[in-house]
Amino acid sequence: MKNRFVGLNTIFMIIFESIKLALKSIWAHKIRSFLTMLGIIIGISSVVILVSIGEGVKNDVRKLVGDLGSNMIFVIGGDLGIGSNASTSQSQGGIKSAFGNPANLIANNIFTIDDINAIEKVSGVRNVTPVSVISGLISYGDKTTSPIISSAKPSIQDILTGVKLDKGRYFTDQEETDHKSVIIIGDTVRSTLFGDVDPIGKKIKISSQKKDYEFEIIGTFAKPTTSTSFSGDYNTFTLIPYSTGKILFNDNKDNIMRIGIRAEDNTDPKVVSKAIANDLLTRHKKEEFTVMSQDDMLGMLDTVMNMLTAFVSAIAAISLVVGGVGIMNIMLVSVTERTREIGIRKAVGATNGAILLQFLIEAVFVSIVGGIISLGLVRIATEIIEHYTELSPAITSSSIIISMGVCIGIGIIFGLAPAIQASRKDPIEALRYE
Amino acid sequence: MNIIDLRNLNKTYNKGGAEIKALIDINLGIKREEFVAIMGPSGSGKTTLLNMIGLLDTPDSGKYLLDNREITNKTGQDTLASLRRDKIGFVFQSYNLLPKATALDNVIMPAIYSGLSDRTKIAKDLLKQVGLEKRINHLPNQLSGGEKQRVAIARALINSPQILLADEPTGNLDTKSGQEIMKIFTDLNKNKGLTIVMITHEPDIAKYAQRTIRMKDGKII
Repeated sequence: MKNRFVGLNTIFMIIFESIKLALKSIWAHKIRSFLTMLGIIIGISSVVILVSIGEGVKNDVRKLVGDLGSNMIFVIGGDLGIGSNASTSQSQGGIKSAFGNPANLIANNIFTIDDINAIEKVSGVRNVTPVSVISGLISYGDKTTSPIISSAKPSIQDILTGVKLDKGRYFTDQEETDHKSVIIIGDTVRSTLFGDVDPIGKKIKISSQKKDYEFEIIGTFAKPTTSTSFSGDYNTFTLIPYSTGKILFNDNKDNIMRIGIRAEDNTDPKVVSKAIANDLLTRHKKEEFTVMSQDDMLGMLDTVMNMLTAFVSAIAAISLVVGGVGIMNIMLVSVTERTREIGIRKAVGATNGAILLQFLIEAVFVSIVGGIISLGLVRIATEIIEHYTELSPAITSSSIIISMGVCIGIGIIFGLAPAIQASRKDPIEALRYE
Repeated sequence: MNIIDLRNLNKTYNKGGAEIKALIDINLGIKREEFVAIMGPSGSGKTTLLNMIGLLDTPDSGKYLLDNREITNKTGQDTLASLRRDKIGFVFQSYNLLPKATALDNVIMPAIYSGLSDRTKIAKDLLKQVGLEKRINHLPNQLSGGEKQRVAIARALINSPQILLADEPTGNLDTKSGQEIMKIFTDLNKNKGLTIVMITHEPDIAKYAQRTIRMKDGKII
C-alpha cells in the first residue's frame, strides 16, 4: 500500500524535476535547442499568423457587412456557386465553380427592369432597387477624383441602412421620376474636393467619355461607424438617382449590375433570397446570377479563408514533421550523452517508467518552448502587420490552444523513441559508459 | 539472521561469443549490521558479486535472499528498482555524481524516486553529517575527491537504506581522505546499524571491516 501512495506523489515529483531538468538543459544548449525548435517555430508561427490575419479580415468584413444592413440581399451577375441559388453540387464545391468557369463572372449586366418588378412581388420583399455603376470622373474647380458612382432608386436608403447621411438628404421619388442631376457624395470625395468647406448645394461636374454633366450636391455620406480595412472603398461610395444615370450615362438603357433588396423585418433573409432566386430562374434560363444574403457574403469569405488556412497548414505540417525529426535526433544524442546519468539514476532506484517520463517530458518541453517562442513571434508579427498595413490580425484563444496542443503532440510522438531507448538501458552497462 | 543470503549462485556472461564465468557456485551469508570487505585481483568477480547483491544484476541460477525476499532472474525490473531504492545505497569508486547538479541536488536525486516529502531538509542534514554543510551549492567539479565521495555517501543514505554497497570507495583518494571515508563508514555501521559490503584492493582499508572475503576466478576462497 505504501508504494501506491508514494506512486502518484512520485510521478508528480518526477514530472516537476523533469521540467526543471528540461529547462536547464535547453538553457545550457541555447543554440542547439533553438535550431532544434526552428522547424516547430516556423510551422506554428506561419499557421497562427495566417489564421490571425484571416480572423482579422473576417472581423472587418463582418463589421462592414453588418454595417450595411442586416436584412439586405444583393443579386449580382455571375454564378459564384454560393448563396441561395447554388445547386447542391456547386455548394459542395464552395466557390470553386467561380474559378471553374470564369465566363460566369463576366456575365454582368444581365438583369432587366422586369426582374426588378417581379422581385417586388416576391413575398417577404419590402423594397427593391436596381443598381448601376457609372464610370466617370468627378471634378470641382481644379480638383478631380474617381469614386465608385452608383445609381439607384431612393428606396436604397431603406436597403443600405448602414450607410448613413452625414449632412443633407437623400433624393426624393420626385427627383427620381424627374431624373434630376442631384448627387450624394462619399466622405473621401468630400474631403478630396472640398476639404473643410460645406459641400451642400455646390455644383460638381461628372465627366463621362462623351460629355460633362453638372450635378448639385444634396448630401454627404458619413464615415462608417466602424473603421475597417475596407473603409477605403466604402468611403468613396457616391450615389445619383437611377433614372438620371440611365438617361445621361447609359443611352436610356437599363444597365443593371446589381439588385438591392430589403427583406421584411420579420422574415428570414435566407428564405427570401431562395424565393428571389427561384423567381429569377423563371426568366433567366440558367443560373447566371448569385443571390447573396449577409450570411452568404460571410460564408464566401469563410470558404476562401478556410482554403487558405488548409493550404498553409499543409505546408506547416511538413515543417512540423521536420521539426519533430529534429527533436528526435537531438533527444537521441542527449540520451547517448547522458548514458551514465541514466545508469546512476537507475542504480539509486529510478524505474524504467521514471526514466521514460523524464526524457519524454524533456522532448515535450523543447517542443512547448518552441511553441511559446512561436506565439511570441506571432504577437510581434501581428503588431507589425497592424502598424504597417490596414489589416488588424486577431489572435484567437483557440489558435493558441490548438498550437500548444500540436506542440505537445509532436513532443510526445517524436520524443517517445528516444525516451524508450533511454529507459531500456542496462544499468551496469550505463554506469560503465565513458 | 542474514540480511544477504546467496546460495549456489552462478553468473555467466557472453562476450563476443566467449563465455565468461563471472560467478561460480557462490555461497555467502552476510548478517544484519555486519561490515564486510571483499578483496581479490581484477576480474575475480568482485564487482559482479556486488552488482548482484545490489540488484543491478540477477543470477543465472541459484538463490538470492535479500532480507528474506527471493530474487531470481525472473524478478521484474520495476521490483528490482524499488528494492534498490528502498533498501540499498551505492558508493562508487568514480563517485558517479551528476556533473551539472549541485551537491545538494545530487543528494536529493534518489529521494525524487521515493517521493520523500521533506527531502531537502534531510539532504542538508546528511551533508552536515559528512561535514559538507558549507559546500551544498557547489558543483561536483568544485569539490575535491574526498568531498565528492562524501556527497556520494550522503546520496546513498537519503532513502534510509539497510545496506550500503561500496565499490572501491577509496580507490581514487589519497590516504587521508580515504581514512575520513572509512571513519564515516565505521560510524554508519556502529551507530546507524547499516550493513556494509565494500570492495577494496587496500589491506589498510579492509582492516576497517569486521570480516574480509577473498575472491579468485569467480569463486570465494
